Amino acid sequence: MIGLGWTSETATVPDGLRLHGDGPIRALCAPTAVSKTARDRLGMQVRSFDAGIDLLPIAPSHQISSQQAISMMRTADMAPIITQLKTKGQLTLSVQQPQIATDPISDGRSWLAARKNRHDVRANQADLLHHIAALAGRPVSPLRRTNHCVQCDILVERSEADKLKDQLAHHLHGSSGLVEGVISITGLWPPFGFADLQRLGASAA
Amino acid sequence: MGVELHLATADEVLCSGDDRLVDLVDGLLHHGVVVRGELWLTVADVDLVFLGVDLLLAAPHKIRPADQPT
Repeated sequence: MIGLGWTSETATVPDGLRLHGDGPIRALCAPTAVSKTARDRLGMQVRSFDAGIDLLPIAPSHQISSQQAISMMRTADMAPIITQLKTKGQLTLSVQQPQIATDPISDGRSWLAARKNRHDVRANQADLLHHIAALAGRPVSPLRRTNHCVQCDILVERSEADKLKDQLAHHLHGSSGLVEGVISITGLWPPFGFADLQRLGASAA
Repeated sequence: MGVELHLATADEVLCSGDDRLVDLVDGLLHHGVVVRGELWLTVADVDLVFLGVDLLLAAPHKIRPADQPT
């Protein structure tokens, strides 16, 4: 079995998943055969979260056995952070802006110019994300960068997620001309961006 | 160019083949219970070097399988 995360749920979980442990916090695990890839694990975490389970999620890219998940549960006091995140999920914001065309890289100067261009695009993306996050007025994760975009997460009560999505969409439509770029607002996701193991590690020490 | 806005649920993102949404999922995969360290070395607004590291925090004797020597 592969660990998906930890939960205070002690009764029902979606078909095929199992709870391990016997305390107030349990490890939610999935059969190895159906959780081989990070995307498989992410899919099952989303399914569990949608079923109403309060999940402190393990990063899907990390394959942790159920035994290891149980061991970690015993070394760290996870109850406070699970309680804190119990009724919450995250909306993930993503901003993509077009690259500015630059001259082909033929020497050191053009290489530096290309790097400067990339830096400027990323800075604009970050500014736009900060702008949107400020509108939300809720806890925001640090920015992260992928190949083509910049992302961040907003922590939100499950019951308020749709309303916040609509509010942000309405505001962004009204800001057309002031901001630009391709913006995606997705979710509700399990609170990946707020699963703070540093706090867990500190409390376990 | 103005704002092009896309709204999607988690299920819609997971089922999508859209490059932008695939990129979004890739960004999520490394988050959760890990600690990610990122460091950009930048000189005069030019990004020169990126260092990234994922850490999983737990007592070593607890996270290793019981039959593996410490």
